[in-house]
Amino acid sequence: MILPLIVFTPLFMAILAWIILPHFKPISTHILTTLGVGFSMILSIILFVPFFHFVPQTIELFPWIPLEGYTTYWSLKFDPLVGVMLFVVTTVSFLVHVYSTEYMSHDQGSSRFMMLISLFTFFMLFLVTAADFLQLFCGWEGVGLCSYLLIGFWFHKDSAIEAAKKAFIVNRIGDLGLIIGMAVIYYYFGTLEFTQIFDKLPTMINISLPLGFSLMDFITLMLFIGAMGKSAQFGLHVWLPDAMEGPTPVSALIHAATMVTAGVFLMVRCSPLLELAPVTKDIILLIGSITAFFAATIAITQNDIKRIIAYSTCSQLGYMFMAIGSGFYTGAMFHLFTHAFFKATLFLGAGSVIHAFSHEQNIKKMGDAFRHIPYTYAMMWIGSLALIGCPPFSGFFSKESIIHILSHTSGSIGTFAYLVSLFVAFLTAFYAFRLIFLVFHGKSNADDKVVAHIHESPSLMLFPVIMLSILAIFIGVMTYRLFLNPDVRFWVGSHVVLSPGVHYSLFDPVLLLPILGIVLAWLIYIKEFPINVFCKTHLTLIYEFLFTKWRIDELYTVLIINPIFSLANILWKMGDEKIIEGIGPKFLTQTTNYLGNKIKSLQTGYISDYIIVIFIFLVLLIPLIFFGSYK
Amino acid sequence: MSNTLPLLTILWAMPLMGFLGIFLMQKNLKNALDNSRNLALFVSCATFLFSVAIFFQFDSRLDIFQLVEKYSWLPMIGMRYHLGVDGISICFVLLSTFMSLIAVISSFHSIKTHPKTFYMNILILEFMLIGSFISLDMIMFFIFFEGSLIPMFMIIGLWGGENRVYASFKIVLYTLTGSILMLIAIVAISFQMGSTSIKLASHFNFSMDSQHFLFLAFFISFAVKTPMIPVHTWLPDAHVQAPAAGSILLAAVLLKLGGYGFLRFSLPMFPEACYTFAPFIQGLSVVAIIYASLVALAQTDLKKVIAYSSIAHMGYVTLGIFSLKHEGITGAMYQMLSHGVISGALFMCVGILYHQTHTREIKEYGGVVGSMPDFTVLFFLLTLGAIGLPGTSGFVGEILVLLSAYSSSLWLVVCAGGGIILGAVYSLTLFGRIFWGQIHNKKVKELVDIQGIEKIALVSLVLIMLVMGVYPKMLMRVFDNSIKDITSILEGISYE
Repeated sequence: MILPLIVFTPLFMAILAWIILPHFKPISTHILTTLGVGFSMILSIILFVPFFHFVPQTIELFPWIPLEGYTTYWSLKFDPLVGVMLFVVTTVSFLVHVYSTEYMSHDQGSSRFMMLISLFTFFMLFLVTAADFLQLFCGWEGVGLCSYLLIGFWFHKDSAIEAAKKAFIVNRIGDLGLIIGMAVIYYYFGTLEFTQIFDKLPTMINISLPLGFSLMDFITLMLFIGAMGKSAQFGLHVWLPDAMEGPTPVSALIHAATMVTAGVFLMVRCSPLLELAPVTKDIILLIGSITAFFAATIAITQNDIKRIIAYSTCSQLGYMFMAIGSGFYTGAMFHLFTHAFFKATLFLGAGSVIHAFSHEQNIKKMGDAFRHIPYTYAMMWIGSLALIGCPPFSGFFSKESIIHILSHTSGSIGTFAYLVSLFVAFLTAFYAFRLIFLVFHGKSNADDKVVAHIHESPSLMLFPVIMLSILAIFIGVMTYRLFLNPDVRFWVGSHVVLSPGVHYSLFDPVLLLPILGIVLAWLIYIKEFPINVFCKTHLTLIYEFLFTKWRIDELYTVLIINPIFSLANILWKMGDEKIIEGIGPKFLTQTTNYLGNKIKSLQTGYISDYIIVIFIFLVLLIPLIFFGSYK
Repeated sequence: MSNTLPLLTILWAMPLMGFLGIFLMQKNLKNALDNSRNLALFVSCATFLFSVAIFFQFDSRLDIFQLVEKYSWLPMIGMRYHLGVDGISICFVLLSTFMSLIAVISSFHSIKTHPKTFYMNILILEFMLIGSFISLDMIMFFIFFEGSLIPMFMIIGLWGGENRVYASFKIVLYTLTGSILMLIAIVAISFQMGSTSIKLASHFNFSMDSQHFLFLAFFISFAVKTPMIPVHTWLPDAHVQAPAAGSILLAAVLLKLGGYGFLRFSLPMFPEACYTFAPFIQGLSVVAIIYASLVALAQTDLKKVIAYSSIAHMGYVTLGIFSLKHEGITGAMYQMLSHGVISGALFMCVGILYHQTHTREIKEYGGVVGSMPDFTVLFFLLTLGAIGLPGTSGFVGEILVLLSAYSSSLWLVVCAGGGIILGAVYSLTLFGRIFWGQIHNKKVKELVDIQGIEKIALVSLVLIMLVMGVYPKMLMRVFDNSIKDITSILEGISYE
């Protein structure tokens, strides 16, 4: 069977690589893991290309957790939605594997790195092929774990350790939502399997919970909290920019193309539930637009090349959630699909840039590099054009379709989301081209030593980026009919709720906004109109606010982290060591000692004292003997 | 039953024979150390293998209690020599023999003073633990339950750290206070029933008033052992002061006596009282989870972090048991077994580190991965198990408990889930501080990676943890019928 081979080959190769790691040269593990993922990729393409022959199926492997009346199985589910994800994950993963063999070749832990990204690929595939929530959760945590280990890959750096921990913990906060969602689903539906849940939906519509939630609203809201953690939505996004501490291929694979889109995948998977949850859909729409907006505003002020792209990822994920919030699930999947390729192009291109500039990440210290690294330059252009939604590129089809649907979304939140999506399209163009102009044009701001050393990446690094950029150009035009045309039977059997088709026109006024953004970036950074200086000096407050990332990290430190640690200390020092210890053993021993000392003084040793005691007792006893027996 | 050999008595006598063997050894011989530890290893290994054989002898589809041995002992109070195992206790027997073996292995290099007495204590502790899991008579159970305290007292008091006297005093004070009440309750039951058989008592209809009293008496005793908030403070001290072997047995098996007691006594004997007190106990469990996790966060001592995390994990156990639902109890049972393996292994790891560096302060470490790569991988996997990542045994128990807790209240799930977040915080902080980062301690640079028998032991613990996490049915199949028996009693009450 093809499906188990796709999923388990990367795991097998990762384990094999781990076992042989100490005994062979690193290159052997590189080849092994890359071949493994390549094999998965070929099989996934075989499954994906004959679009019309999808046969939804579930392969049960062996039982996992027995619940009352229902046992969860380790199983592999296959339907069109899974097919899309398999294609994205294996393709990007394979290209990133190839890229990393060269990019990481000088690192001591390169074998460990390859093993971990292979393991990650396995967990991601395991996540998307899950047939029930528990297994999805297993993949969900597995990718989080690999992300943790890869962000903390350079474990000598304290910043990397902290970033890794932060990513894991913030994700865990989201996971709590997912767990609660699962508990509620299990309580009402008696099962955690997707198909069974969707089948039972009609009987569950009218149940309402305390606090005024309807059952569906509550469940989907909890699931959305889980998705917010993974997909870095506003509030739980804080880990994503810090995650850039990891090696660049990791950022491309995990923090742009695959893992962060798991939340979108989960929401699309649960679209039949969401359709019955209008309140949650509004919340998703709102959070999605806030995320898209806030991340884009931060991206325009940042100077770290990877962080700019990270915030851009955050912002694009916001678009996907806006699509979900307006019920346009296929559009969200489509944007996920195209975004994976162009964002991976951008990240790997950024990796080449960083490589060329001797590990410099600050774009203010770059410039005038296009002559030295022409291929990288071209790739970054392609990636950026796709990102801003320039017509023939893939981003155009997905993004324009989302904006198009948003323009028809009713309600005040819908209008708000539509306006935000337009404004963010403008901002996206601005920061994308700000990056390109500052890195590749203008005058060089780097050290002479660095400039002398600027060089194009080796072909093993260029090949994957070229492949990705080809995909970034053509994948949209190739597949948009498939994703967006409801007449095609592509989505049959996937339980994804379909939405009306979108008709494109090249003269959409929406297209003007990105052009405005490019022009503005060109004016400021090429023609050096001092608009940015004006903003910095006259709108200092806003600029500072954006530059410090809306001060959310500081806010969390003050509001959540510090109180928790002080509470922990208080509980330990006061609760355990003072109160419980004081009332428990200390009090007992001290009272025993005290009473012993007091009673000791009764034992005076004088016979006269004892006689008095005996006499008192006798006086007390005699009446008892006489009157006590009358009853 | 076809076999006539008193298998359980043999199993139970094996560590006792080992104890006598070491006792009869000459003390002043040069190779007393080697002799005693080799004999202890041999005996604990043989006991473990024998218990595995018994485990396979056990057929969960047959009777609830199997391999029963019954002889009259003190007829005037109805006491009998009554042994037998059901699906629950056979798992615990296996856990005790296995962890005793691990405890012996972990003391191979670390115990140099009075080795003879030390291994005698370990074996007698194993004897007591097996005894308490297989006895079906309350007085016998009480004797073993209490008896396990004596070798533990000795292990902490003689081979412990700098503050060992206070720690061993505290463990005795707490546990004794609890068990006096249990003794009173047992006497009361024996008066009412004319027998001290556990099997009889689980189908005996106690009156409502006496149920409340008896339940509370047993509850306090088991709560101290589990330990639940607020009677938990003996545990961190005991763990910190105990030598590695003591910590392993304490965390892995001794704490499980509390949970086992709930399953064996509280639930089947006093079902009405369980329903009365369950909300209160569930609340207390959630408080324990959050409280212990928070306190673990503030610790600077390696062993204390793991000790407090034990308290938090046992909070899931009591939460699950007192959900009084099949899934909750199954989850609690699984959580106990899983915690036995994981925390035992973690304390073994700490012992390995402590033996080489002689410090428990977290800030003294950092960058251990450089000198101990294999050890780091194993420790990390165990950390994942402690966090409860899916695929490890820790997840199975926790998720079952959480899924069943919703039927009581949403807030239980929210709070217990909050404990999961905090668990990740303190566990990963601990891992990051010890294994990652720069090396700033000369001793850390000189650390030697694990090898030999210790490595085999640790690797097998990790493998057990993973297998338990991926294919839990293997064990659940064994104790499922016994739990169904308990839940049928509970459900009989709830429908009346």
